[in-house]
Amino acid sequence: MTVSYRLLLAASGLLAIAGGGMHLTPMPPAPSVTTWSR
Amino acid sequence: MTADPAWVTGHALTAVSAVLLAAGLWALHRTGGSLPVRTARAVRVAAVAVSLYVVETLFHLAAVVDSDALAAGDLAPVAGTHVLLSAVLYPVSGVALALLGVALLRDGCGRRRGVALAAVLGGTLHAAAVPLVLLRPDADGAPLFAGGAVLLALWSLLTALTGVPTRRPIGTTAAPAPWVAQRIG
Repeated sequence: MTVSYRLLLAASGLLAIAGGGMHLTPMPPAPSVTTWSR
Repeated sequence: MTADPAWVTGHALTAVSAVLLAAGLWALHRTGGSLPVRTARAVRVAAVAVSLYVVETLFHLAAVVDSDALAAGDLAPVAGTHVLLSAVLYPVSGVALALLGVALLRDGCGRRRGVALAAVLGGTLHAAAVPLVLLRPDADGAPLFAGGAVLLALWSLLTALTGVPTRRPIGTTAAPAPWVAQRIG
């Protein structure tokens, strides 16, 4: 059975918004990329 | 940052979203015979680029294992790999999605062109975000990351609703030129 590209893109968009929304929740200060490389 | 309880859930959703986006692009690629040539080519490139980007999202998610090392300022190999991959794969996938948007913009019409614009802008922001943060650590990359993510998510959702342009059957591409009509007449 072939899953429709429309179904896959819709699910992708919804999960991206849900995941992105969690990124936007208040978090403590993040270490910068330069901190990681030290 | 990686120690935040919402970090794993948020990044797991983002990783699954990227997997579904890659799968959606490959599914669209399989319908290639019905797509305009330019769009079909752009879909194939975007499918490859987003499939590679999936690897980055997995390392991004797995960077949580380096939480203690990051907090202590120690070597963080998984997080470091994520940063290295993101330096390459964010621009690659962003440019590929922006070019797909350009192809859809040129081949589409009506509201589909507006939807394609979201891929052009979102892909551009996505491509620029990591290079900006790496080259200018003091710069605030959050608007680029968030803007790119939101626009690409909107593009996915709206493309699911409106579909993509299809190749017109031969003979229905345009009305006959006036001189042809005259000769026929």
